[in-house]
Amino acid sequence: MSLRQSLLHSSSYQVGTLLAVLVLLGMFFVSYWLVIAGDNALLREPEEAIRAEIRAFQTADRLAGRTGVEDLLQSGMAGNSGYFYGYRDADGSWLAGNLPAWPQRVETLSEGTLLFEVERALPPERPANSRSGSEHFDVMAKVHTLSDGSQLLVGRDVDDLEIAQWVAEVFGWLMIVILLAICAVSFGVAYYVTSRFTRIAATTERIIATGNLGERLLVDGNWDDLSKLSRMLNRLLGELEMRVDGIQSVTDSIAHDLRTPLTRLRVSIATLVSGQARDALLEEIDGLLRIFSSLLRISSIDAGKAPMASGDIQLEALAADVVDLYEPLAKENGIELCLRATSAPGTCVRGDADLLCQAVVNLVDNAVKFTPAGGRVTVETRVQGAMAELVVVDNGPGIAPEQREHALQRFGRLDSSRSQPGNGLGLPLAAAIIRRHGGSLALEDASHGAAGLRVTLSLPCSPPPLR
Amino acid sequence: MRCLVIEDDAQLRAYIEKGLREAGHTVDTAGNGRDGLFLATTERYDAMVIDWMLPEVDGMRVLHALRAGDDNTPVLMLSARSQVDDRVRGLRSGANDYLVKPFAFEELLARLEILAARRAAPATEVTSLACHDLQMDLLSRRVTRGGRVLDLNPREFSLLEYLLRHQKQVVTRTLLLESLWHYHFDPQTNVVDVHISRLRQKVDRDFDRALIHTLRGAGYRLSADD
Repeated sequence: MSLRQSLLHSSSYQVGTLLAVLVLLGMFFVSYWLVIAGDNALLREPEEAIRAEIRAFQTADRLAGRTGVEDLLQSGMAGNSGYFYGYRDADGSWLAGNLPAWPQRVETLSEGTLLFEVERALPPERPANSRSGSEHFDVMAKVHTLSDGSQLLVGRDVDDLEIAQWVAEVFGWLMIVILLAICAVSFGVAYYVTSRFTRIAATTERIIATGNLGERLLVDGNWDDLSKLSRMLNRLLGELEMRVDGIQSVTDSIAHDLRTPLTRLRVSIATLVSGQARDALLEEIDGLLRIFSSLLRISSIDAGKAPMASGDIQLEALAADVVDLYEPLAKENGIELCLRATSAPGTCVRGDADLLCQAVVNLVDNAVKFTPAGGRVTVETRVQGAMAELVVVDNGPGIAPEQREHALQRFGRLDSSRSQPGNGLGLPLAAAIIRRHGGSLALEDASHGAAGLRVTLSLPCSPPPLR
Repeated sequence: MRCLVIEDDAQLRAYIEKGLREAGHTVDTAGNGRDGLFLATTERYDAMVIDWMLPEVDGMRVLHALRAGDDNTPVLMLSARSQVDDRVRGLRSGANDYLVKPFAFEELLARLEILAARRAAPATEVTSLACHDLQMDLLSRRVTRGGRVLDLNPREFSLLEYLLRHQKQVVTRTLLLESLWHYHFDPQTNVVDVHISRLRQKVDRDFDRALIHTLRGAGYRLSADD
């Protein structure tokens, strides 16, 4: 499985993604907050207050003219209402106000709204609600031209609000940075965990594929549950290895301690006077020994630790050799045996030529044996992706789907085949050989609706075909 | 030929000895690796049969000792182990052939004779082979019997060539499979018999004297005598 695939299918990665989505959602809200803060929504309230104050001055102007305005101005300044005022004549001369002077450097906040700085020390009657500490503070103001052309400036201290806005903005960004960090960390953790899982899975898969129980998982430290899992798996492997070794040594002893007396028995029979009875006995004991050696071979292949004696084998040439070998027998049985190679010439698989030949021979042998006269057996080689395939198709009786599993087991002879010679170890031996080579053996119907069996051997190409 | 048999199982050893003597060979035997190695290094033999598992010095060590001393006497290893890799290991460590117990004596004899013959007469370049009135021209790939051309396909040709090269020797089925198809495996059915019977139809059917003989339980022999 590729890393990308294993990432997609890992629970930690999925949790990481979920976390990331939640965090992104959080970020969305924070950004919304930032947008509001940036939108000067906080400044709308003082602006409104200024507007109300100006309306009051407009009313005074309308009712009592300049005196009304000045009265209101005086009472406003005396009342310590938190407003800043500036009042100048149409010609620009300063009339009244609690500002030191008409502001010179102003910036326009929005249509009709100004913002300027005021020196802290200068206005002695600075509104009480202002905070002290900095040398300047910001004032937001609107200028209104009265009916006689004089100009009135009404402003409010917005320093606090600006600070609040600044704090909100900074915190918002900080929040986004933290959330992004959480995102990155959660993906990082997911990646780390997944890659460790992938490594454990890959090692386990390799152990299963090669049957090399001597291999161990890498234990990196012992601080977390994954290293604990690795350690436990290693202990399990150790246990397994011990048992398999036990079985192996028992098998070896059986091989040696039973074969030698059997050989002696065969010798004794062979030295008897010749005759029909002797030949029959020899045939019997040879059959017995063949079953015995097939069984031992299957276990030895299955329990194999060392890699196969390996070379590059051309599957096509192998198929041709086996077809060549079986062609006369098939002809004698009235069966058409043909070879069809659709793989690119030179497609190789890695493995032991003798064993692979044995596997193919067993399949072809079965096909020729079970296909009635007039039938047809086809051996085909082809390439499917990274796998080289060898397919043996016959139009014999086939194997019912529910019996296929059984047919691959040792002594799994089907009732229908009891009348045929054989010991029921051909298919299991072939399957064991293919397993040992990292391939697979599949039994299928020859084609939909038609009778017959299709056996597909699938082996990894060597080297993998170039894309 | 003079053979040495190193085998710890007394009955099997006696059986091999008896069989080889009956086939007209001289046989020395040893029951353990130490005695066997002593005989092997002090006497000259045409071929040796060595069991893999031997008391005192095991068969593989005997073989190593021989090969290390530049002794290239053909050696046939016997083993009761049918481990898949053992055959390859056995052949790689200098054995010339390998047989898994239990085996038919005929198989052992055939293989031993072929090993010894190969050593006695290293493959010389011949251009034609013959047996009685059967003639094979290896250059033009033409086979005639009694002046009549036999029409053989390539597989039949190489089968007949092998039999001619080893005429008067017993050739077993597994030997044929190994030599002609170059695979070492256990055929489920007697596929080789069918090849031989087809060859026999072309070589022997129309003639009075049969050249290809079947030896029951052993294999085949090509010879002009019965």
